[in-house]
Amino acid sequence: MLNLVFVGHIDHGKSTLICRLLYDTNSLPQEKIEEVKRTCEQLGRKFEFAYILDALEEEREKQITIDTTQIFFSWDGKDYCIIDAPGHKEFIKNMLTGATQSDVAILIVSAKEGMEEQTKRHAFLLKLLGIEKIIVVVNKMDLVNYENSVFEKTKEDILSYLSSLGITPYSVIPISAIKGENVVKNSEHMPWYKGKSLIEVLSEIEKEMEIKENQEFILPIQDVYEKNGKKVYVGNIAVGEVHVGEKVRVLPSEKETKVEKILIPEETEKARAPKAIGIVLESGTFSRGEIITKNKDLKTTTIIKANIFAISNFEEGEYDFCCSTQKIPCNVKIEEKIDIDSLEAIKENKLKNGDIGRVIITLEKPCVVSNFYKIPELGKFTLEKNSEVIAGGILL
Amino acid sequence: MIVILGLDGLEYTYVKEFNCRNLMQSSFGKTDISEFSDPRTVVLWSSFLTGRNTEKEALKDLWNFRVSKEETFFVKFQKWHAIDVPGFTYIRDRHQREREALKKFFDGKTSIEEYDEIAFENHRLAKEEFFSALDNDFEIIMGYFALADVIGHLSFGIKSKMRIIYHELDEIAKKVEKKTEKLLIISDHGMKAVGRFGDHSNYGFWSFSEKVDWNMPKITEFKNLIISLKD
Repeated sequence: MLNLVFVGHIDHGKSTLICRLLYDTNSLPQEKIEEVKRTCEQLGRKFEFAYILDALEEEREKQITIDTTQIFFSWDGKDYCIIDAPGHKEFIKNMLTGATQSDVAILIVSAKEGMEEQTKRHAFLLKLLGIEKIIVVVNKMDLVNYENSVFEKTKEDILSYLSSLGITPYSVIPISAIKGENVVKNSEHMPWYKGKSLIEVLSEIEKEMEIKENQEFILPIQDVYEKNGKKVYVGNIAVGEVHVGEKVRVLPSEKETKVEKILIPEETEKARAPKAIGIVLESGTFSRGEIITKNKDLKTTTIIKANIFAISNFEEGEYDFCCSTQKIPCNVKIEEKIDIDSLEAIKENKLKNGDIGRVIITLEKPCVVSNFYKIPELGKFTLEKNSEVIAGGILL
Repeated sequence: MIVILGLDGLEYTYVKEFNCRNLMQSSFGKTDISEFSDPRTVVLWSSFLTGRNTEKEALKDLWNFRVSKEETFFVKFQKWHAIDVPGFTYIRDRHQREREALKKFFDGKTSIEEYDEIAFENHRLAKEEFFSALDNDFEIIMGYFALADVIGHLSFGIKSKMRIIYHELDEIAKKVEKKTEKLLIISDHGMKAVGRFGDHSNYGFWSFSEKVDWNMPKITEFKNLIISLKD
């Protein structure tokens, strides 16, 4: 499943593009679409794509969770999830607390209006959230007579700005969401564009992600109990697969051992994510919070730089750093606060509920963490005081 | 010529949300129907025409209830025409089919498609009669369109569909605006969504072609307002 987020200036066609994607992949309720078409026909009115936008609105309303909508669709045997937050504040909150994870961002720029302040802010936001795969779509090509020169100029502007942020987009596609060109179906009006449509690019990224998903085994130990004199380490496999007899490392103690038994709850030869299992190791004694893994790149650290989202008023000081099953005392220093509207960095040593801050976390003992986009389980954390969550963050 | 467009069940919030500029005209707002025990079509239209609450009498035989011309604002005009107005010139048999189809739908004996078809057929007839009457030399003319209410009963919660209905009514208003300088658009009540269905809301809608400061007028206050528009 590929998680998508659509960002861009309010008038550059976000809803129209989402709706077009759902419509052309037959993901909107067909019964409702037929009803709309029949109504147009009965009243002798031309069917307009704008009418379908309401159907999207209704889908959103149905699928809304606390403050995010997740709209699912499939195409060519692949599954996608559109993560749609009502505003960028909700989106930042969900992303920084790890509540949602976007693999790909689609940045929409209108060919007619060009890049605007909000486009720049959203691009910066993607950088802040560490979303690596960014597709730029230059929308409303129908309003500029499908001119190649307009596309090239818009592309040049956006590439130059993204490059100043250190972002290289995966692809830049000229589209018309309202007419459905280069979204799912290729455009007849832009023969000069030889690249892929948006869905083709998404499908390509999905394939790459599939390969990446084939990761080495990681099991954060949740609990330990004894059975027939042997310690059984229990937890949910975060990623990968494990077989009896395989060599594993346990972090942060860096001890190597072998898998003696796998229990789910009966003995079995192998297990894979996201199964909850019990595992018996040949040697060593370990405890909750340690990580059993086959991943050779996984390392420990005592200093972490991260962006956090404050859930209560937040001050510098002592906290518990909680990541997966690890809970480690730490000291947090705030480097700066990021203004949620202008996205500018401000020197500040306090954060209010809803603020974003860049912080340095110094841990009392080593901890196993990873980039959120590589291993989400080890890439999101909370900062707690007396077991109360004060802030959340992801590691980039 | 004064033109009154009576749009049954036209909902204030949808007019705004769907940006129906022609339905909104120069001034628009909600009407007060709080004095009525329930927002009933025949009661509200006959009260609009007569300027008094007809609830007690009308409820005795709702769909056969008729007010006389003498009680209405039409009496003040020499040449007038009122097409299919509930409680006055209502074409009972035509609308009987809609009501029967609604009952059949809830009894599981007909589909939304068949129900809608009756509503659209009646709407086409209403449109034809109204626009042909507009070409005559009347002092005042009132046309009645039940489309928003009839379709709304089974589909008010489906915005995509209702937007088309409202755009259709907006286009009718646009055509009428070209033929008169005094256009009053009025509904008996609005609607509220109950799942995909719709129920009557406890206020109506009004709009006028000129700037006026009518602040949530009662539906019974329009009789005198209309008479005051007479040259």
